[in-house]
Amino acid sequence: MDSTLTVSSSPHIRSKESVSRIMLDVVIALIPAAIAAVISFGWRVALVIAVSVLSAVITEALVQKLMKRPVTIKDYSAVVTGILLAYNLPPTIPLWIAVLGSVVAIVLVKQIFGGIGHNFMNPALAARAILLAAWPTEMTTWESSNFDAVSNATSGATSSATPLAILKSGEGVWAELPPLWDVFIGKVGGCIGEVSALALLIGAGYLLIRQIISWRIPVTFIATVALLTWAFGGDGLFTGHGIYHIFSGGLILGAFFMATDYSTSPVTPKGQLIMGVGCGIITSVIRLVGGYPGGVSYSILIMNIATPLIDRYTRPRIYGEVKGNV
Amino acid sequence: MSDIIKTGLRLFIITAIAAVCMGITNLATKGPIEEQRIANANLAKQTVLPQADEFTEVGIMTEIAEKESAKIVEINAGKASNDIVGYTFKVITRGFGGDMEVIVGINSDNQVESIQIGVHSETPGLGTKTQDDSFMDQYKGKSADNILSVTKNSPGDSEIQAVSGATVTSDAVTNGVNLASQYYSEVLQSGGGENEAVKDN
Amino acid sequence: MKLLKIIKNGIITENPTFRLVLGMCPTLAVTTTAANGVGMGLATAFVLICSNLVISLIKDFVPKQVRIPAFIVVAATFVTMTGMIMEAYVPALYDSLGIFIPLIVVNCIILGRAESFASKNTPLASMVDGIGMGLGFTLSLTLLGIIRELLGVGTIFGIQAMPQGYNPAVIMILPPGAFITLGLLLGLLNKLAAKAE
Repeated sequence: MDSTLTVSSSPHIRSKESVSRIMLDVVIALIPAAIAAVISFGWRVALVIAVSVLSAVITEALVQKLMKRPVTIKDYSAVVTGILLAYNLPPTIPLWIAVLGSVVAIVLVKQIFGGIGHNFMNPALAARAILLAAWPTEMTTWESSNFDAVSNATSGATSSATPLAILKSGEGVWAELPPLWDVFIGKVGGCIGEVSALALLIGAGYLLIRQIISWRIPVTFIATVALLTWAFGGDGLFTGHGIYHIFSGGLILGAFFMATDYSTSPVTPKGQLIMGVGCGIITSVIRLVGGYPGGVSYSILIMNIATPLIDRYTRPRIYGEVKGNV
Repeated sequence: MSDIIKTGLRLFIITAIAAVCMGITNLATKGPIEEQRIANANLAKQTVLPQADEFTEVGIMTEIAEKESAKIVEINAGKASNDIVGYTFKVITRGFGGDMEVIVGINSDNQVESIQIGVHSETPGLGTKTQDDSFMDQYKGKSADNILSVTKNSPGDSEIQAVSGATVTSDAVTNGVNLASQYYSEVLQSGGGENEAVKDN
Repeated sequence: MKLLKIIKNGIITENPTFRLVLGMCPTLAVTTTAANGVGMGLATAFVLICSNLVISLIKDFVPKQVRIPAFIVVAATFVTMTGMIMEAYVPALYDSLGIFIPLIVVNCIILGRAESFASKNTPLASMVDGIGMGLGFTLSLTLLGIIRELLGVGTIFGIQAMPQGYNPAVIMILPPGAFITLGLLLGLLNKLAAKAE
């Protein structure tokens, strides 16, 4: 790779940023959510995360050896993929599905298309989509959070509907919705990583302060979802549970950690706004009228594919050129 | 000009020969295709009501046969040596992916004999599991007087255990079976002998 | 000798699925099971052989300006006849191939071979080309069907082939599974072909 770099004229600015440093920051930012998940669902999720990360890293090393490419597992990108994949799985997931998901993410989505920076979709999300279509039963079996396991120790294994599934069932059963505060801190059922909005926001704040991600995609994404679900989510206009939609499902996780993936999101500021709004619209449509309760992962995948197009049409004008000439 | 006529004529000859070939094939296969279609239509009825060997369609009283969640589109009386041994119902019910067809057989002992799932567009791997014997067999022998309900835990007497992850589809199938049972107890059970009168409706 | 070469051309050198990438609609849509793959492949092969033969026979009779409509009429006639015969005598296969039978008409392989081979060669060579291409198509579809059925259901031709505990990946018999399998096979075969050259 390095040999293809061309040296341009001075001045040169040397940045301390490197792929591994950025990825390490993402890993750090994802830790609070892992802690919240362990508190919520017990130690098994730690095992799921560990298995997923390990298999992602091992797969990456093996594939790169096999394809005679330099082994780049030290850049932490496979670690991030492994964590994000685990965060998109239900806590009860059989471990072999987590392993297969990591293999799919690394081999099919990342390495076959050329490795880090060349993947056209978010590997973890694409793997989740494939797993969801392959083993729908295992991927949609939710266990209620055992946050308050002491009080109802016997009901630990009963499957429970996620807030989004309840929202989807229509206004009649909205009374069953857990309180918003519970959803916010993670006392509900759901995927491993999406359960606690609070923990995710702490990590997101870290990434924003470190300037690893920009506010544009997450904020426009979340705002669009909130606005659309508020406007069209209820029986009449502007009666939907906009706020509730923000904190349930994978919206926070997706908006801050997955829609912002460098290689699959636009580079121009205007493009990033388009990406955020586009994700928001697709998510809302899937949540309100689609067949699945949650639409975050599909919306990001669809916008991933649109990214080259967005970049192309939002390319800034070249200095010194006459408009229309570009 | 003559070129156009020549071209057209040749194309006409080709299409005419093609038409003759298709006509002959049609003549030869018409009989078997017709038999095949009847056999297919009877197969589903035969599966849900095996003791009958002959089926005659009976009229439907639409005010009872149509509900918000399901609708009976076809009722057949199943006969064995000219005695009515039960009825089969084709019910359209609303599943997760759209309309689905449920075929229900109710025998003259007032019990659900068996059910079949027909055309549907449910999610493969989830909703399609309602076609497994383990799910469909739950309906066998349920009394037509009871309204069945779907449960997630171990089922009671008039309860059906939902397919995990496919509650909507399980509900839809059960709604279909319920509608058939209800129609049977309200209309057909009492008037088993007055079958002809029902037909007039 | 030349005829053998034509057959080899259809099966390997210019395999319709993996080399020419023609007829993708039936390839992706019906290969949910190995049996469907064989059925669709053989039905297409039958139509291809017949239409190649007939087109080669009438190639001097068909005016150049209307050759495409004429070819389509020939192909459509055989497709309609195949459809009727299948419905009458092999209804089970007809049920599973369903709407894809009429679609054989618009399968690019039929028109492609008519235009590029049958309209330029002798009836015998055209028929052999139909056999080669038909076999190539059948083999490709069967291969796809076997892989998808094995992973998606755990069986091959309906016979249990995976160990008891195998939990089938439903995605393989859904449309995405078709694209994933075809893409990986294409890549693999291209790699092998590049190595061979």
